[in-house]
Amino acid sequence: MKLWTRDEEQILLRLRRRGDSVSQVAEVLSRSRAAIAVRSQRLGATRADGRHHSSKHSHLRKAAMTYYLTHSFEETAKRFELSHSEFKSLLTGSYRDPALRHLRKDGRRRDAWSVDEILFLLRASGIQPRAWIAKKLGRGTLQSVKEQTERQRLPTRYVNGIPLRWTRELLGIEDLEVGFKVKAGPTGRHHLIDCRPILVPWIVLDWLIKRLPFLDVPDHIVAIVDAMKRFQLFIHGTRGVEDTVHAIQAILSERDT
Amino acid sequence: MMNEKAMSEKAVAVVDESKSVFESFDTRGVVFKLRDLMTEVTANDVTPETVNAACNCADKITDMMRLHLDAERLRRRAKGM
Repeated sequence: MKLWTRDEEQILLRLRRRGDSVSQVAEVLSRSRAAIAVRSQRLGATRADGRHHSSKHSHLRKAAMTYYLTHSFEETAKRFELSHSEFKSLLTGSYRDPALRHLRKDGRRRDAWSVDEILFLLRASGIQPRAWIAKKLGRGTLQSVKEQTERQRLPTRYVNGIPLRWTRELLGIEDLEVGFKVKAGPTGRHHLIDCRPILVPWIVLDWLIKRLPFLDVPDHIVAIVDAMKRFQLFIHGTRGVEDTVHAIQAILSERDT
Repeated sequence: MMNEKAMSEKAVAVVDESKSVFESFDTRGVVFKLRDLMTEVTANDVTPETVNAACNCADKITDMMRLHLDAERLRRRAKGM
């Protein structure tokens, strides 16, 4: 192992602060890239632009981003002869660069969510996928919906009801058949594993508890279901069981956009 | 300086007190409070802020439902052991 001299360390620091990559410094000092990387880390010698690694396709960023504005991901990758992961990596680097901010392909609206939009989001939560809601509202991708639901601090899957399995546990009826198969929920890779639940709306659960006298449901659960039923009526703007169920069915029957 | 006996008596008193607090936790009452809050906050004015407040109440209510189901599952499991 060749020990580092003070002069070598000085050169290393100077070159790294100038913005030279690990490979360039390794060439100058005739050492391996790993040795340069480890020594740089120990000396706290990061690159002048704050990045630790040199990006492979940084010279293509501006051209690729400009082309990507009017073309698809696949078309752009093909045009610049990049693989899927290479182009993805290029986009990650480009989106971090403030100088290329104007070239970002971001169709999201920047205005605040209105009450109607929030209520629509709540009405469709747990029934339709986030991507569907985003398209219906014209708010870009599912990410914007995800951000908004996080802001609302609400687990979206329970806004409109609880899964049938929970209902069976709660009421103690093993063979209960009620509810709707929703379109929201995990479907696995390539939509091969369908884990989307059968949802029992709060209002239906409330109706069952009140209409079936043989059920022995604890008082606090009756109160919880009643409270959530009221919340459901508020977000759907409905008054009873039938119109709320119709409203949910209407959302559920809408096709993918 | 507090001797060992006094310390253990104090510890017992603290445990008893926390037990009584826990036992007197009125889930139904808390749910009613949250429900009333949820209704009141959106009664006069429906704005993004009031809807957000109602959502927070609904979140806490659904938390209680999940907690109840988890506790029931644990109870059944303990019974089966």
